[in-house]
Amino acid sequence: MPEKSDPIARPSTNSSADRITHAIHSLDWTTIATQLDREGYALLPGLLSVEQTDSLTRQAADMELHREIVTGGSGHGERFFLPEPLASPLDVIQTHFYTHLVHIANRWNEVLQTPDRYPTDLAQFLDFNRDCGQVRTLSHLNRLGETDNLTLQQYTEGKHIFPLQIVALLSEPGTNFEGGEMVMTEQRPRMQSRPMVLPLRQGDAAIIATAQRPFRGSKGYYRVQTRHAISRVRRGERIGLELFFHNAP
Amino acid sequence: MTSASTITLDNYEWQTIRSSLDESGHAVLPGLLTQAQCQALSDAYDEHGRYRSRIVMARHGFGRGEYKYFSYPLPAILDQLRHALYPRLVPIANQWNQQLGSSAHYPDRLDDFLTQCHAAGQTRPTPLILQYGAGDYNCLHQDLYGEHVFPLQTAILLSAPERDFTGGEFVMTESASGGQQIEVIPLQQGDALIFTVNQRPARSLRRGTRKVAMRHGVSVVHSGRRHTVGLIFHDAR
Repeated sequence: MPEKSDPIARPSTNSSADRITHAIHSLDWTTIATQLDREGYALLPGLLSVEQTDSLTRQAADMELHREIVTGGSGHGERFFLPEPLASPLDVIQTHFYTHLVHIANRWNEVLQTPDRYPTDLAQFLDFNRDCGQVRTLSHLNRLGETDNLTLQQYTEGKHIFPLQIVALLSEPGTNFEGGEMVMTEQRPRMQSRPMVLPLRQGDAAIIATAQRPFRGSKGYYRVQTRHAISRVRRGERIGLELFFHNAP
Repeated sequence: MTSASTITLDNYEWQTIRSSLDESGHAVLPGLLTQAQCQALSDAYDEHGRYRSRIVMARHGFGRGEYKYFSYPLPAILDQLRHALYPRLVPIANQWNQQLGSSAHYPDRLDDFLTQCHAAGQTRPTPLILQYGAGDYNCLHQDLYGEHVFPLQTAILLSAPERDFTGGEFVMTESASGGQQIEVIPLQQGDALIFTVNQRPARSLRRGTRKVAMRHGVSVVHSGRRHTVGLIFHDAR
């Protein structure tokens, strides 16, 4: 799996964090931008190595203190909110993805005629978040057992919402679990929701639209609503990662 | 293409199917049609004279892809299946109505139910065949065609996943407790899925029985061609 899906050649001597930094900057950002504009998501096969998915999985087991049991309207399962500052390699992933995604986010605001622009530096954007009382980190690991699921969500509390986020799968479908697909829906004006199933394997990630994105129709751009969910796990245990660029109040 | 004797529903565990429908609003009948039967239905997609209308989904905001409604008389195999499935599902449908506090009662035989539909102006056949290519999808929806609604319907996958197409998963949503739960139902060629048309009773630990609304759709097809047949028991206005 890691050999097949490594997005770039490995620099020979660097640490895992350096490797992932290099991988992020070597991604085909033009294609990613096109995919996000068209579909609202872009797949990043093999972003995380097996060592990294294993280490994050172990982290979930050690995070009982940060555990939140998901019930009711949000589904069934467990979420483990990650304390700030994020540990490596997630801090690196968050910082370096932001420097690329901010251009897409600002272009989206421009075509949707939203006046806000995001600063080019993540630290500065997070300062704006704190100034508005958005101090609660949203990035989390989730763990779903048999029959668990997470319902369709948008993480849009607060004034500062970054329109993109990252999701990753830390377990291997077919081996560790069955079911548990990452599903997105997209609602265009006067249309019912379009479902999308993101084909993820262990270590794969995707950039997804968190809540809204521009869609180019025949009469110009309009705003579509996006949501994402994890379908019911039919067998085994599925561990996933959600990485955000904004905080919640 | 096939004889009546090849369609049998006796081999399925109907108690298990009923539990699955009560529990989750859907149940799979593996291998209801053979590969040859699937192929024959798919191959006839472009034939003239079998269908009453063709719908291009993008024109109506339903999605992308197209489907055709069969004319009466239905192809023999679909007519047999519709008649064979209906009596198996009637007890479940009637119990659901009772649980949801509805006094509506479905007759034991499909022909009697269709007579009720036809008397109410729902005279047009609803069985259909859908065709999706790369980039096509079906938005989450409910197949309602008038006042008379039979609460369960069937979809049969005619194409083979991975061989004939990739993507194109059958997706269902269930709205309850303020959230929308999603289920992706894996199907193989020839498998039939029985599922909720619009709403069903669900057990709730705290509040007894509650009503949940369900919708279904097809996720974006990544490559190839995907055909399905839909058997809806009520007819359309």
